[in-house]
Amino acid sequence: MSTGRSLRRRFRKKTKTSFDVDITSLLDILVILLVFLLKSYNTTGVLYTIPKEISLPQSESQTPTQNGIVIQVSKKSIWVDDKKIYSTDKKDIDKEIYYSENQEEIIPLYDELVKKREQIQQIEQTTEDAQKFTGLVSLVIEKSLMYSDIKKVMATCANAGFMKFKLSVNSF
Amino acid sequence: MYKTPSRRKKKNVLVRPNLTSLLDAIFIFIFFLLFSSDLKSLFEIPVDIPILSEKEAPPSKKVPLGLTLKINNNSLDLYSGTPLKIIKSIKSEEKNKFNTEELHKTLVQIKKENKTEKSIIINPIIDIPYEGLIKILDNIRYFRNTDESIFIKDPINGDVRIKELFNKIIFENIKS
Repeated sequence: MSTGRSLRRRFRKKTKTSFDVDITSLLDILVILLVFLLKSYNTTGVLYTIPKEISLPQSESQTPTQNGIVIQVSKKSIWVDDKKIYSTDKKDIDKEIYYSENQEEIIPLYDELVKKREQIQQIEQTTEDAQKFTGLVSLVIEKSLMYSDIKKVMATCANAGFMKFKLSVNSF
Repeated sequence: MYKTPSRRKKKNVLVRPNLTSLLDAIFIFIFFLLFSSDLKSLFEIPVDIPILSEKEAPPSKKVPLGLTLKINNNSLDLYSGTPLKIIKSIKSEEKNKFNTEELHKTLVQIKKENKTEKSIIINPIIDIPYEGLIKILDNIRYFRNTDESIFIKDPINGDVRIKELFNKIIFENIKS
């Protein structure tokens, strides 16, 4: 009879299923992840995005990085705070646009640095707790570049009012 | 016909999903993250450039050492005093491969006689690669654990071991 079967179905007790997940190995992974994060954690809070074209020289220096304007120099390009301001790809347009008369100064770099300095000084004047202009630049330079190239970058920085330099290096 | 309700016991079915393959995938992902990330820490070498000032230098009885390192084609030349007098010339056999060990030893000896001096002027006469320049700076800045210990008298802590060799680096000719 169909009515008897439906009653039986209605009163049939449901079997209880309990869900149990073994998370032991998951915790192992989390521990590895935690170790990785702790190892790569930088207490100075200064983060650099280094372009692929730049490989830094290795050094024994243990001086931690500081906040400042970051100038990155590769064989072909120059960046100021991650903004590309010079590239040799454009060099064929007019070489004179990029160098001063005595070939010691890189004009786009100088212009950008002056702009940065003025911005910082303006903020300094209008805001009470603003960081003061220190004239500090961090130089992230490709290791195969020659001293004559670095000298041009440093001379341009000095002319733009940035007189303190930090040479960024990789630790051994 | 009435049938008494059954008193069948509840069945507790334990469902254990097989996570092995999922965890394997997560492991591979973590290894990928570890290998693709650059774990090398960034450090800095502070350098200065000379600043021209119209003000007169403060009077001091102490004669400045004026330690200067000139990097030439085949030698590292150390000078001091005003006017500059050569202290030592460290020759190298190959171009751009300098005897930095000898330079370090010489600077340790100079530091022994001038314990409070921290500055050195760097003057690369030739065009050297940046990597080579950093190697020279490394040998100038700090004492090594294997170096002879040099102590300085401190009024509070007594004898204090000096860790820095010539850590204040000034580049001389950036505009020439």
